[in-house]
Amino acid sequence: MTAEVQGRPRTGLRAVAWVAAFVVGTSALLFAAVDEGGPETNADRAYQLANDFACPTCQGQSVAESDAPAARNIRREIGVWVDEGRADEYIRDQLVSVWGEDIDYTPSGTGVTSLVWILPVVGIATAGAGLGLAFRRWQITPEIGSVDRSHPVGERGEGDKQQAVVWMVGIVVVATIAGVLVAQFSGNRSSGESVSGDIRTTSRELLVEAQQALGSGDLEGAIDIYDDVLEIQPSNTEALTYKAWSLRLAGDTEAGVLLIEDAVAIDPEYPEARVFGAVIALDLGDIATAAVHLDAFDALDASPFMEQLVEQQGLRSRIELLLDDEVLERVESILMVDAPPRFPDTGLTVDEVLLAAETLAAGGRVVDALELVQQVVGQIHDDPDLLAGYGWLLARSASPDSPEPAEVALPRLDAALAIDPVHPDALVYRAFTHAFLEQFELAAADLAVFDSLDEQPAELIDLIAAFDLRGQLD
Amino acid sequence: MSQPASSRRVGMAVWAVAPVAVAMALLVLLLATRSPSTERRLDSHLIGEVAPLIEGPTIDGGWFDIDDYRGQWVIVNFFSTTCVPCIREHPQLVAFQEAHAQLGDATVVSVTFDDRPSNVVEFFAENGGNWPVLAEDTGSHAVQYGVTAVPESYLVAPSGVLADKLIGGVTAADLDARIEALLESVNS
Repeated sequence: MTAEVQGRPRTGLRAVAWVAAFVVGTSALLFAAVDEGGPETNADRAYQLANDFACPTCQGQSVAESDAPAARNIRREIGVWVDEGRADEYIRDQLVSVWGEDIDYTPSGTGVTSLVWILPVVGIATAGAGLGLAFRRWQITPEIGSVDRSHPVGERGEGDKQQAVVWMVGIVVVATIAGVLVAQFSGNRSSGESVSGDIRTTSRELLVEAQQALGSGDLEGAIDIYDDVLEIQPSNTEALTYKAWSLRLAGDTEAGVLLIEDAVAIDPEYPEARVFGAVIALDLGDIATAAVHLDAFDALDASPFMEQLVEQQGLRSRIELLLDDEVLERVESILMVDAPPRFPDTGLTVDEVLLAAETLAAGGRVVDALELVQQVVGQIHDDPDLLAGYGWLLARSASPDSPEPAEVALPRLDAALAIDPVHPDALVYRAFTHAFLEQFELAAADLAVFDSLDEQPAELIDLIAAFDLRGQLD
Repeated sequence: MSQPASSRRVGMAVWAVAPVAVAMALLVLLLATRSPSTERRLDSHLIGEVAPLIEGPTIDGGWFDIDDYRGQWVIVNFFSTTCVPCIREHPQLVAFQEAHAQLGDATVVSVTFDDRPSNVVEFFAENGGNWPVLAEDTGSHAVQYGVTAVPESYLVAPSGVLADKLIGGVTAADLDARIEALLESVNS
């Protein structure tokens, strides 16, 4: 009894002393590790940061220590970032995003690398606890006889073992949690997750992200990102145009029209706006607008990629075809009826009539085409375009077995050239007709006049080449 | 049945040492199964990400902005006039540029690495190459692309995404093959 009374205060004091020593020692170590004193100047801070990163090309040297060009570049860049007032987290994020976690001497608290933080804590804590328990048992063992005589020695040993196991498991669990917490508070940075927030905030990066979403078929995602860009920069033509395109792909074509109009108003020379505008207009049956967009696009110095897109979409041929069909429909409904009105009252132009006649002829309705033009020629006698077109329709309907239409065509072509002696279409058409009728000198004369013109329409040059008119005359 | 004191001490010592041994074993396993850090640093972590912006004055007095080349492949070539592999690969870049200039589907941009602008001007005057060359304040570009040594080339896809990193000298055929492979992987 006396021994117990005398022993308790000594044991209690010893325990308190140990705890106090542990707390003071641990606190001192933690304080020394965490608080090294803030840098006094930007250069100090840049140097401290440079010490926190590994030289990408050297073994065992930090960016601050190495003289490799890559390390020098990083030092310089860190200096720039520090001068710009960037946070340490930003600088770490930038470098880790380029070189990966390995460049960072303070590894991440997530993923496999978090084990670097967790395992030492678990190991040290568990080992410390194990040693503590071992010391305790060594102290207790000599007093076994005086502590508890009511239980057999074997039972006490089993009880102590179970207690030790429980303690050990508890300590491992607590240490693991502590390790995870240490890892979390020590790093928690990766290229994808930054402490300082998402660094991909510029509209440029958002646009590329949106393109990726669009490319992968995530239309809603792309539209959302384009909305983000437009929130930052409402006049961004790329975002306006591609949002319109995304909406069109998502089935909301009409919503894209206004966006394309905005984009074209802001930058009429943005090729994508013209091409997507033409496609959207075609979808909505607005052929005239589509043609306007395509004409504007043709006047631009667009990238080969956009040219390819126009070809792939078959935009030119589709618009041409639809324009032809539209004109034919209009002309047929007005002129090809039992009692057609006077031509000036129809609201049609000579070009539209000729286009409709060509469409009819291309569809095999040559007689209808000739009748249509003849009807207008009966009312308008002095239009060289009309006369040239009429003559050309007649000449093309001739064949070696039946050359008469070509002979009938010549007076119409002569009439056109009588009105306009340098009418390029009439000159070329008459040259072809003369050549067909084997009047080669006359054909060569017409071709010579055509060659002397200051401006020669490309389609006529192509026509001459396609049918080798010059070869026929040689 | 009571255990001898020495046996219990051994048991406790095992309990104390075992966690440390397990922790050490896990660490050794982790470190042994990973490639050396110097090798891992060579891998570009930017592949598949938006290519870092490159813009700045060119040696011919112009201005280069990589975003102006969206829609075509851009070979971002980091080089130095004092690096032998860079000098060897230069004719291949010239061949590549000439082959693609007509098609307009790819271009080269050279960015100097640890070199003097005057050397670069002289180098291009002697060896040819009519693509944009950035020679002033290019250290920042090298850091943003993660350049460790030259020559290093980066393939930027028409979408503006960094598609590949090529370490060492390249040939025109290499570049064409790589672009074709990337296009095939995208199409498939």
